[in-house]
Amino acid sequence: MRRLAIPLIALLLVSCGPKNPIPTTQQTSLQRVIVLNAAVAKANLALTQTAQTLNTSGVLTVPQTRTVLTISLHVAQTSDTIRVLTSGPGDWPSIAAGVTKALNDLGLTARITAAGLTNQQLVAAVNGVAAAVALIQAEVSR
Amino acid sequence: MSLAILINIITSALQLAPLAISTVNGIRDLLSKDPHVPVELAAILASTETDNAAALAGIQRWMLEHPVGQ
Repeated sequence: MRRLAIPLIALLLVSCGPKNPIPTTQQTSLQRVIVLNAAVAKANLALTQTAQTLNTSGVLTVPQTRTVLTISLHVAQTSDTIRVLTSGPGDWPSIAAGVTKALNDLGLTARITAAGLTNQQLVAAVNGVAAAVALIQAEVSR
Repeated sequence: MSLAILINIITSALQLAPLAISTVNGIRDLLSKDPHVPVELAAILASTETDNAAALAGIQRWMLEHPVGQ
């Protein structure tokens, strides 16, 4: 029995020991903007789908849906502009300036305020987009 | 606003769009390991492009089905 116990204990100790860490890299601002821009695109796609679903179910009228989809359209175009900016050549200051201009041109907060959304599902969806946009703005303002 | 709050907001919004959840989980996993994250930039850029293209296509299709004045 003792003959078996020692190798078993040794095996247990080895298996509980430190594992090789997964290789990681320190994120740069550029990388963080790329990740957050993916979040913007994903949240915006959800906003689009939510608006269409609410329209189909009769919760949103056609004009109301058109208002939301117009916001979503501009967000998608801005997100694509940021994708191009962040995937091309150029130093970080010039990329950050380009992203800042794109976000200023979008004017998301003013668009959302003007839309006067009240449906809770829509508000949650648009908040997701706005939060991701705000984080990109914070990243490029550092 | 913290990344955790952002992810919660996005996740709750995306519960309305279940098909999008798997990709969001990927983004959430990346951000949750901040600041030391293995960032697969090419894949993230590709997902951004795909999501934007899907949103634009969906909007265009809906607008055609619901012309102004309808």
